[in-house]
Amino acid sequence: MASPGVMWRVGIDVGGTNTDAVLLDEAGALRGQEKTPTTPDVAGGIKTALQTLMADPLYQERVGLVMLGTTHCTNAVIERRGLLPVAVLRLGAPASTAVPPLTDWPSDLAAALDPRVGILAGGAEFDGREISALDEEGIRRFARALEPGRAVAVVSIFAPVADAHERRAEALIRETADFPVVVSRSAAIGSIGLLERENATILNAALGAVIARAVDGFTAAVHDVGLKARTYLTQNDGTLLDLPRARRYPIFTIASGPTNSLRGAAYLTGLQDAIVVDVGGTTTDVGVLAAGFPREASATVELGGVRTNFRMPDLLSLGLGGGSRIHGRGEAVSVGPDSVGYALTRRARVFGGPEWTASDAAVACGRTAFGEAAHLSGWEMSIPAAALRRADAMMAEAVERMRLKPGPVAVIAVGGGAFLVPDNLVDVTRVHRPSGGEVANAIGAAIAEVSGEVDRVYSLDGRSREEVLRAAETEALEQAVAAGANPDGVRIVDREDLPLAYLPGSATRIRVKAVGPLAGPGGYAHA
Amino acid sequence: MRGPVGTRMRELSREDLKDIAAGAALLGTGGGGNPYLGRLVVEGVLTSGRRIRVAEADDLDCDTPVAAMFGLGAPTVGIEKIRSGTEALTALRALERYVGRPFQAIAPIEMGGSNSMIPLALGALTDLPVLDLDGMGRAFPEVQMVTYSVYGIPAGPMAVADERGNVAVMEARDDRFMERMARAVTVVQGGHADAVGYPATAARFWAAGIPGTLTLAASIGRVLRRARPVLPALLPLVRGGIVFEGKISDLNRRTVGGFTRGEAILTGTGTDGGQTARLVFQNENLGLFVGERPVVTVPDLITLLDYESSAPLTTEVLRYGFRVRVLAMPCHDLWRSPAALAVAGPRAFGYDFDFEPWDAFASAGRMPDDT
Repeated sequence: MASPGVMWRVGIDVGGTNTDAVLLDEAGALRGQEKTPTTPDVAGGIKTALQTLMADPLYQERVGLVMLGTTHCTNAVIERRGLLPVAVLRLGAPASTAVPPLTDWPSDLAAALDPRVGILAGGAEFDGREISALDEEGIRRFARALEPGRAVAVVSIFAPVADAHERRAEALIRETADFPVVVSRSAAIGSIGLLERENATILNAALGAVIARAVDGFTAAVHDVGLKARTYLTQNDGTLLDLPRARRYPIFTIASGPTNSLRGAAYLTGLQDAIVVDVGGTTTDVGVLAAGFPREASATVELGGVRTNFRMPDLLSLGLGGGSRIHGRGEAVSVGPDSVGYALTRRARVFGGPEWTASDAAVACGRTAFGEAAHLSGWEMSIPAAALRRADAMMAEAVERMRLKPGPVAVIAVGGGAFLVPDNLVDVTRVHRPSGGEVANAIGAAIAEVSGEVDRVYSLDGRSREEVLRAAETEALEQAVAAGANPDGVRIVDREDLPLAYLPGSATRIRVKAVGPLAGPGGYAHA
Repeated sequence: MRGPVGTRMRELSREDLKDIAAGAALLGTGGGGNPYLGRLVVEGVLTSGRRIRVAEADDLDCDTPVAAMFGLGAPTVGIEKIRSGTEALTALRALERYVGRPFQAIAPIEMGGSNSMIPLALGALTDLPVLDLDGMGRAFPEVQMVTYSVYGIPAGPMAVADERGNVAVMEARDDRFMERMARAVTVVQGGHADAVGYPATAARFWAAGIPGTLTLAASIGRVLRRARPVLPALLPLVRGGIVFEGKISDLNRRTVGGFTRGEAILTGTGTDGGQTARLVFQNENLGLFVGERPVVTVPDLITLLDYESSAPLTTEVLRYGFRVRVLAMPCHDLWRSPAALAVAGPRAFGYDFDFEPWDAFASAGRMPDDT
């Protein structure tokens, strides 16, 4: 029997091919790991992985936390599956009417939402003044035209500065409709940039049913295995969503997989600043750890062909992995981007299959050992050597491109194909290859913390920049604690202020993020 | 763009709009803002069955009344408080009432960012032709940094309008003061507004403007979209050259007085191995130094191209480690007079160096080895 307050935790990462799961004890040591094929119903794969991890019946009682990172929502958007019909209400007319909601969306994705769109008077200026008075009667008409099952996205101009109109619109819609309506408000979802924030809000609304199925399946799997644990989903900044919040903000689970890999790599090595190379079967993702968290992309991020501006890890993806096919001979040898993918253990030569892959080259050149090297006999050695040289050059170039500053940097190689990362990279202190690196993504889920974030345009009006920054930091810390962080471990991890060009010096956009370990049983700090 | 058919002015296709936006990103020399939203506004106007006609010098009578149209204000506001599409029309009508007669053509002012697109929307809305010229041939941050001002077309009277129909018509003693008043009105109107000004005849616009820049932007966009490799097709088109090739090894970017000022240090690669270059920028790229020697200076054009794709890079997206080529292009001769350099030469931006004219034949500009 576990002593009270000392809990183990399980991290699960559901990818397109595999479901990975790990078990960490109260000291954070890896007690078990499992890789199993992802099942079409997803819950099946989670259940299988959990059952294997719980082989020792004593483990079951010790597990206090189960964290899930999943690609459900990403795949639903990319494959246009399971999306709810959406009604979009934009507040800001007459401004913004030149570019209505869903402009420039791929037509098949827009059609999958069967969208209804309204642009009504309301919204704010950059300094919080009203653009025009809120059209309350128009909102009631909009609400009366809704039918049950349609999700609503409400987006008001400059909502990140002043969101009163979005809140009022949500209340009006709920009180006018004769049935429950799920409303996504943009201020909770994105930052400045109306179209991109609106797009993210619309996708969030459309994902309501997908996330509900994922959460239900996850909860059922945890229950079926007999675990009495607190459950969380991981979001794309490497921190946790409790299940009610995950149901409201499914968009935040998008791209949590690569983030979890980066966080897992940091945990396994103890490094806070490093370049992480995650080599899978088909692709390699290169990302950057700064202060233990993924560096975020500064540019617009496209999701399923739609521009969004919510925070995503800054990743460079290469068409190179353990299953990449080798083409050509002599100087013309190339590797990838096509791959045998999940069929590696059937298709690659080293496993007795018919195809030459990057894994075969690595085994032939003695960089790693698995399968049957005998299957490679008779291969003209210049080909695997040239293929590895080509792969090494691609890896070196990718690491170069992701550097933040001059000087030596540490590299962490994780993922099933980590052996493809060469040791002799220029200006790299060392290539770390942590044990457990092949399940770094699940470990990243298991160690996720809780966050609070403020991203808003402030008017300085008589206050100093430092005063405003401090106020924003306090608010972010309070948000993190409200979301479940231990007040003793909570800290500011990111701080940015950006004066708005061409405006009087009073307007500044401030972004602050606070993070802390979960409070309560099982919530230990690892850093 | 289609060629002229008889006496009819040619019309822009949707593909042309994409090409002009892409070309303006290159002529924007690292600044100018993002033409994406501007393009969506124009495409929105076109779906209502309208057309955009482009006028060359001999398509219009010399005394045709023309006004220039452009957006003013903070880019951050522009991406949040998107246009209604009526702002420019409100400003145009107000200016017409003020001067007492209708305008018969629209002139762009800047070939960078949204300002390369929005005049086309006004042209479509009013069915007025848009002149194939502009007042910069590139992007610049201020209203007086325009050849119209330098060569005798004053900015005023100028109308500045918001999306609610609020409009101010202003006259100023000089264009610098006009800039200050227009900015003040813009802030009251919500931080972003559309302006119509520089009222003059077509003949005066053809004398004071940089001709052919809409066509040039479209041609650049087409090359960026179609040509592989890009550079052998691009360089002759812009009379440009690659003056440095390297990696960003240091980057210092800060916001001063509403502008993004700073510099990037490039460590040479390939034939520039062993050398170091310094790029200074203030929203737009303003000077490239190799060692202490100024190689290219404003108002000549400096654009960083992504090493792999040759896509133009804005100062906002630059990051440590980017591999780039530095593209230099000579500015139009209108910018090289003493009067013009006083407005848009290095010293006008507060730098302590003089303009060094650059051209592809006289300098070290060259084709990269591996294209």
